Amino acid sequence: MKKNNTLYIGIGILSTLILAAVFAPLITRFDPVEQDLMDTLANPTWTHWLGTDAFGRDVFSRLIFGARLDLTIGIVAVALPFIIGVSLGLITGWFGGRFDAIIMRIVDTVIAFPFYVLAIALVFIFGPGIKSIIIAISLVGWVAYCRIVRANVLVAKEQDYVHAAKLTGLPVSRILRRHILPNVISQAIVFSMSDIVLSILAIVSLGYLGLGVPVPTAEWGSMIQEGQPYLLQQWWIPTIPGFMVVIVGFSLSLIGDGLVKRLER
Amino acid sequence: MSTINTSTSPETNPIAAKDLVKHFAKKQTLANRIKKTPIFNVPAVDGVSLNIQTGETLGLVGESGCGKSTLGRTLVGLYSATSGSISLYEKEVSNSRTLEDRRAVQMIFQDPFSSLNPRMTVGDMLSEALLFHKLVSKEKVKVRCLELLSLVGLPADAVDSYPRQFSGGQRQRIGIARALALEPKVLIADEPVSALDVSVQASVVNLLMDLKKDLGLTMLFISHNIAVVRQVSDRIAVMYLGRIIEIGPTEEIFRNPSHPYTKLLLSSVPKMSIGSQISSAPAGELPTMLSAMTGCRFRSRCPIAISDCATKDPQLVEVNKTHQAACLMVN
Amino acid sequence: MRGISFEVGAGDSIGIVGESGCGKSITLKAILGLLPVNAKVTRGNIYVNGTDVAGHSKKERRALFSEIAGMIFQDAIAALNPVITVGEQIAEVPRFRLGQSKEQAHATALKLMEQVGISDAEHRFSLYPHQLSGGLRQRIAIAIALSGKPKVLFCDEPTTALDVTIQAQVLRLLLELRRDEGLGLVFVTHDLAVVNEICDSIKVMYAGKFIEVGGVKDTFSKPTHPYTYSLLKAAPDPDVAVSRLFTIEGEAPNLILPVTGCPFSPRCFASTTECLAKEPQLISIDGSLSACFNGAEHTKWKATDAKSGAHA
Repeated sequence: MKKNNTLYIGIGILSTLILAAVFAPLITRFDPVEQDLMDTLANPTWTHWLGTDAFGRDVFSRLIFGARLDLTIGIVAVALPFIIGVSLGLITGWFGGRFDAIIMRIVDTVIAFPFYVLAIALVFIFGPGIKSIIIAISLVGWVAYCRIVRANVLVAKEQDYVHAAKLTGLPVSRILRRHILPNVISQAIVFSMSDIVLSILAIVSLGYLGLGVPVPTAEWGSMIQEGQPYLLQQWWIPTIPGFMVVIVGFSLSLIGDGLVKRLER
Repeated sequence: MSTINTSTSPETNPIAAKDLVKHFAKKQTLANRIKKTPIFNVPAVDGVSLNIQTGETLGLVGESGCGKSTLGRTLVGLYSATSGSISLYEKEVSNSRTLEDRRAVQMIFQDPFSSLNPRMTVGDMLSEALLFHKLVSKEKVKVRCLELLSLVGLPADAVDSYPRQFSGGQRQRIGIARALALEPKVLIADEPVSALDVSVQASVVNLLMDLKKDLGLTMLFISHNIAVVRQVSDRIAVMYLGRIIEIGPTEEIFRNPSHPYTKLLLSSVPKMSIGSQISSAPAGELPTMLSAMTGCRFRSRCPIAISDCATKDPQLVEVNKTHQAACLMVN
Repeated sequence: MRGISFEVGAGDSIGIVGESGCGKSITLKAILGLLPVNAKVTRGNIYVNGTDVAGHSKKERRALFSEIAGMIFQDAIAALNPVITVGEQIAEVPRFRLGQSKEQAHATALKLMEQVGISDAEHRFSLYPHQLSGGLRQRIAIAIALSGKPKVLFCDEPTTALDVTIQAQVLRLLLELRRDEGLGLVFVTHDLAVVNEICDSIKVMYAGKFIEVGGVKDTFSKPTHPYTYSLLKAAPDPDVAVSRLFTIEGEAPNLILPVTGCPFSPRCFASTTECLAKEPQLISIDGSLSACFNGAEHTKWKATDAKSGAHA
């Protein structure tokens, strides 16, 4: 079979980041929130690989620990919409009828809604923090999966192998699980790759707006916001976290493309 | 519609239909609902009665739009009948089917590329049906799968392979194996060889003829390919616009077609005999506004239509003891 | 395609027959300059009215061909533009290539529609393809092909998707055009019976080459290549029911791999050792051409086959 380099390169980059995040305490000896007011805004040295920020905290350490937060939330924040969206897509696609019509109108409404307005509103309701972000993303994120899966279900249920399954007398739950689901899910999986990127971007943006995680915690978005005044001198403080988002996005899109190739066999 | 008792009593008929009707209601928009416009029904099957005897292969021919596929799917249970009855060994099944009933009638599909789940191995497909109906124990299921595969002429290693690894002809064989797994009483084959190349078609037709002989299969063979139907069928029914307009033993129909449409159909088929030339070109097209038609539906294209044909809707009448045709000009 | 040669003269009716993957559709596309982006003619000549066009660019070749050839495809719905009325599509060539005015082209289109047997042409001129049945659409496609006043009509499975009665109408129309206008026909199909009824000569294609070439009557009654023989016996005859149909074991070769010896030999019931080593060229046998080392012995292997009783 032709080598699927795209997939492997993407996985390689992402796993490096994930491993770095997981083994953060082993990679850096600095505590990400520990301040050293004697040594603020230091240039990169062999001690502080990326220097220190305005509070003397080690930037590299904050970057790695920030990866923990952003990657985790990014993936978790997509898992819930994925499950909800795919399930609803299966049901509406298969059964149709009034339930389908209602859900689709809800989908249309949610899509029309500007995401950040909703997110900000929710953060005001629930207070800033990881929980609000995940709720906001979940409330809005499921619709894409629902639409994708529903469209594929509408096609799949007209296939003859589904008719054959019906003729065997199999119950609907079984047909959905064994015959429909495996054949409709690949597009959703590929989409989830870019969705993770979008979620991370959302978290980072909310963090930049000050609506993300509470202050001392290391997170790329808040790092960008805090580092913004120093853009011209210690430019690396706000730019490198942004660059990390780019790398994560790039690796996920490689994985997405690689998956498309693999699943289309 | 008069029932046609061709020979033996109905009790022995594995499958029979009486005055079967299947309409598809065209979707109504909200505007139509408010205006209360009458629902426009496309009558795909418009009053069909037939019975198939044990071990018989009934060929069903007709052109696109005649309803043969719909008839097949309604008989097998994929569509529910709008009205009329379907019975399996005299048991009425048109409204609901038990699991046993479902097992008794199975279908072979036309398209080898969409009739098999691309994400299941051949073994999984066969086992699923076998285990669900508890036809074999878990220990014995693999053996049974191999038996089914050899029955249709496929090698044993097919059991762990995916559909994409097979050619069109092989996929049709897998489809046949799947249909046979449940040991049905009746097989409905919906254009089983139409999507295959000539040489592959021949091998699948041979397979079906062998299975018919060895297993005593009762089969409804739906096809638009007259030549293939002649090979496999004991009796032939010709459909036009939702009705059976002629039915009788194969050789009788070919030698002595009685309905003008049958004559038209048979003369249009290109022949293999040397020096054969395209004969009379039939006139006209299918009528579009079916609901507005009175009298015989074929009269717009019929070379022998008379004035009565515009008012009387012909029913099936006897041409001889085994052969019926729905035409006012019979006899 | 691995070496195709043939000529089409005025009024010829040629049938190119083969199963899927043999290259018959690609042959037409290669000749007319309609190959997809990843395909290329790598060798050979194509003569249009004596001029070799193989070296010309695709655009030039299409320009030359559009003056003498028309083409109709299998699926009329894909060949017709869904957002332009059928009448305008027929009028397009007269208007934009033949220099007729809008009114003239309209009249030409109506005449063509009548010629192909479309009743109520005035009204149907303004219909869109999806409003017409399959048979009518194919007639529109034929009218479009005729609008450029071609000398040859290339047809790629034009009736495969049609009902048998409609097919008979379209085939009859093609025969009439040939009789009345002297139109040549190159008819690509897998349906031997159709070729039997409307073609004078037949070319049987296998694995990218013609393996038997001859008159239809001769080839059907006396095929000299085992593949042609097998194909004729595998095709079910509507006039005769047999107890078993002829089958051809195996599959057509994958042309990505190089061909050694005769490409049909793995599946051939009459193959000998010579067949596996060298690839046979077309040689003259009993008045037709056949690419088979054992073609001259065709009576022998046919007798052996009949005796084996494999097919009644």
